[in-house]
Amino acid sequence: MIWWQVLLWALLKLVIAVGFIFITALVLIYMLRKVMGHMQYRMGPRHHGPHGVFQTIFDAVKLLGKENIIPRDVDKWPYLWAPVIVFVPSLTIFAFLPFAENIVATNIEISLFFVFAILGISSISLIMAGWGSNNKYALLGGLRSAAQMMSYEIPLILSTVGVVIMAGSMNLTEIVRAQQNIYYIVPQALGFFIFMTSALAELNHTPFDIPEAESEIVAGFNIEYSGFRFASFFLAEFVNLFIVCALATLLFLGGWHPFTNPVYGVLFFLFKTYILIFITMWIRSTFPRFRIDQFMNFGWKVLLPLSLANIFVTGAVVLIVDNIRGL
Amino acid sequence: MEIIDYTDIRGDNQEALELIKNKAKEAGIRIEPELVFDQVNADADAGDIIPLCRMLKEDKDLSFEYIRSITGSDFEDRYEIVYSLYSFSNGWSINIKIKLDHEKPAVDSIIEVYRGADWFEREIWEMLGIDIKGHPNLKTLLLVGDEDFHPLRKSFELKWEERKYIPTEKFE
Amino acid sequence: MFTQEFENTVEDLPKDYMEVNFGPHHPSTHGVFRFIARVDGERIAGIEPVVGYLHRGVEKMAESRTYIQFKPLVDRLDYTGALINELCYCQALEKMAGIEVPARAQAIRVIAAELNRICAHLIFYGAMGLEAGAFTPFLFGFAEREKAFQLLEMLAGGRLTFNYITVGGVRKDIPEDFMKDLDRFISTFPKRLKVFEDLFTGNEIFKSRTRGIGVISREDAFDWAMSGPTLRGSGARFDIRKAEPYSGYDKYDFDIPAGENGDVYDRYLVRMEEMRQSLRIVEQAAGGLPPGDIQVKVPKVLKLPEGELYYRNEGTKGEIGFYIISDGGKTPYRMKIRTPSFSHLSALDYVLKGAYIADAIVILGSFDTVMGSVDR
Repeated sequence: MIWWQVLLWALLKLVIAVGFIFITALVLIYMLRKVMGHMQYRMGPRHHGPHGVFQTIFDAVKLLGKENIIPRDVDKWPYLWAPVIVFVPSLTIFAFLPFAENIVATNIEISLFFVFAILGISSISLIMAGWGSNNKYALLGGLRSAAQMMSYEIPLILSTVGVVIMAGSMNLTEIVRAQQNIYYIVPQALGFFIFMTSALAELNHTPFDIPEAESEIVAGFNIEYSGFRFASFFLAEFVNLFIVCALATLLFLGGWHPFTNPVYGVLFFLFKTYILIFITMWIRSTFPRFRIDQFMNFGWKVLLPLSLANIFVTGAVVLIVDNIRGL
Repeated sequence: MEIIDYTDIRGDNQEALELIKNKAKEAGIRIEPELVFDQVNADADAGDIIPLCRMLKEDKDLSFEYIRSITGSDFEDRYEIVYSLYSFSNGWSINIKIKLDHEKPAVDSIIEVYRGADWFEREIWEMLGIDIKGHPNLKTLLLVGDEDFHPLRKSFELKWEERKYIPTEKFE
Repeated sequence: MFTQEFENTVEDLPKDYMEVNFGPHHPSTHGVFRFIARVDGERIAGIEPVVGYLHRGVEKMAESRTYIQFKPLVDRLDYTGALINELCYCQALEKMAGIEVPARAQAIRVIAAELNRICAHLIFYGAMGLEAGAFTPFLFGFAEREKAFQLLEMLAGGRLTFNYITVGGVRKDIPEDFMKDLDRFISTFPKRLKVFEDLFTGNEIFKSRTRGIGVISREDAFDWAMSGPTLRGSGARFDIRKAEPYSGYDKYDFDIPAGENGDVYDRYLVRMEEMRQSLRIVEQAAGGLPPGDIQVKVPKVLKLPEGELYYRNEGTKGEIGFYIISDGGKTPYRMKIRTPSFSHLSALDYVLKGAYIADAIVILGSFDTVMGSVDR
């Protein structure tokens, strides 16, 4: 009787995770439109439902009903599989994120490391989309995104090494527990800044949204996608946004910290994550975008040395403090 | 570069007329300027246009650095081209008019003197059929390119006509 | 016929350039404008602009219409600043026919023209934001433009094309509640401009996108027949409203901004400052409106004496000029329209050599072309 109980339990977790992801994506899209609308001196969606809450559902249904146009000369396998693969990292990472004390799908000792390993897969899907579309604009967008993602993954990962040194473990639940006294944003402020900047670059979010630079190469790599395939790239971007802000909350802002009660813990964790998401939307509606060579310079010549310096200083300080305590 | 202030320059076109007459006589170019509506209108020969423009541009006292427009028009027995130049340093303006033959109109291009004359001359060629000699890129600018008429000629009547457009090659 | 060869415009081509077509449907080329770029990675080696998608044959149409019948067509040349085109045309006719315009009509013309100039520069501000990648300036600019349009609708009866300025004056007098709304606009607009500048002008990302890009020296600007804010950004403080004053501009007190470096940032700053100066002119003109009539008696069918005239005005993008050849009859013999965007676009190949693709869009936006002017 045990094996089917295990299977049922796993399926339940899967359903909850996938459901949570889609609801999050819908909520985030609505939130983006409203936030950007109010910042831009207008209102955003208003008609469907009170304050336009059902707008995203109607948009998703509309996109599902669109005609499935596949251009004639595309490279079939990359073109058709790219929208599927772009969701793989998002879904997989959900298995490792803890939402409250003991509320985590799978708890392994090196969950942070595993999360970063899987996050790199998302760049492959953009390159597949760019190549498979058989279009010069898409190719330019795909190449730009490949360069961008490769350059910014290194500062992203290195900026969290400081947190790992201070917490002493790569397990995400342990890291949150280690922030009992002080949230890591205070000693690791530089790491937080580098993490958020690199994360915006990984997500193709303004001010780094060159692969989907609308005004130059007209939507970049997803120029040949229509209907639900286009929606899947869009949804994946928002789900990744949530994941990255959740990671930042866990690593730097203390996760669910004061509340050990599961319900309050989850709610507080979500509250902190949504504050970070609001800040990224604020940035999105304010800043223009960089040019590709300017931000390659920024990534390699500024963020990478800074993150290495961060590791250095953190390691030295932790060593000295431990020695003083030992004395 | 530092900013040069041109706001207080008021040019007296009568003075310009005298100066241009003297300089042209020295250079041996025939020009007949006169003052119409407070602007200098001058008649010149079609063959002299490049030396005349070069003199007007490069002479230190005249310094007509700016070509305002090149207008072509079709009179029944001749074509006329008017070059409008302006001098920022002195505030003078001049319209040089040359007359061309009606059967085979042709004129030299002044693109080496003023690079901005490029598109003006292309437009004159395609609208009036005046051959511009020495222009590096004489292709149609505003029209499609497969017409065999020149629209601004008086012989071209505006009338209703239906044409079918069939692309000549497959657009890959 | 549609494939353009590059052999004439770009010399010494190696064979592995990629041709990218920024087609007529593109969010960033102002209007229907196509250019084919040869790119080497991200750098442009040469471009071939293709224009003529909006060609309506206005100059040919002028030869079969009377002068007054042609006037509405002039609106549609530079449709972002339609009243200024009308002003230039009507003044050209008045100069040739020797008609004197009353003072009140001149002041109303100035108010309308400068409000239109503010509208056109707000479009530039919004489009510049879009090209650099920020979405907010576009919406801010158009919200302000809406207020100016409401004023112009009260005054002239239209939002984009007007047919308001006639030969000898203007068509209708100022309505009653216009001055109150105009005062409110004059008092709130500078604060909004300050908000726009705080958002965008000092932004480090914007500065690094536009400083040192698309530099045009003063000699090159003269040579390529550039005028208006594009020329002023390259170090020549020149404005036709001061050099050859018309319609009473010599009575008003305003400054002409100019830039030192000739790059995109300077052209942007020149246009932002010009909006402030236009508001100053509107304030002075509305403050001292002389009484009188607004239209002088003009014969129903206007006949100009024989002769030729080149008359020009300071349009929103640069110098707009009309060369009219009249043979004494009811219709013009030849009407040549000189527009600023035509000359600016001809210099695009020269300015874009060696620029990045992202810079090409920003430079094209800083020229601020409108295709109705180029194609006529």
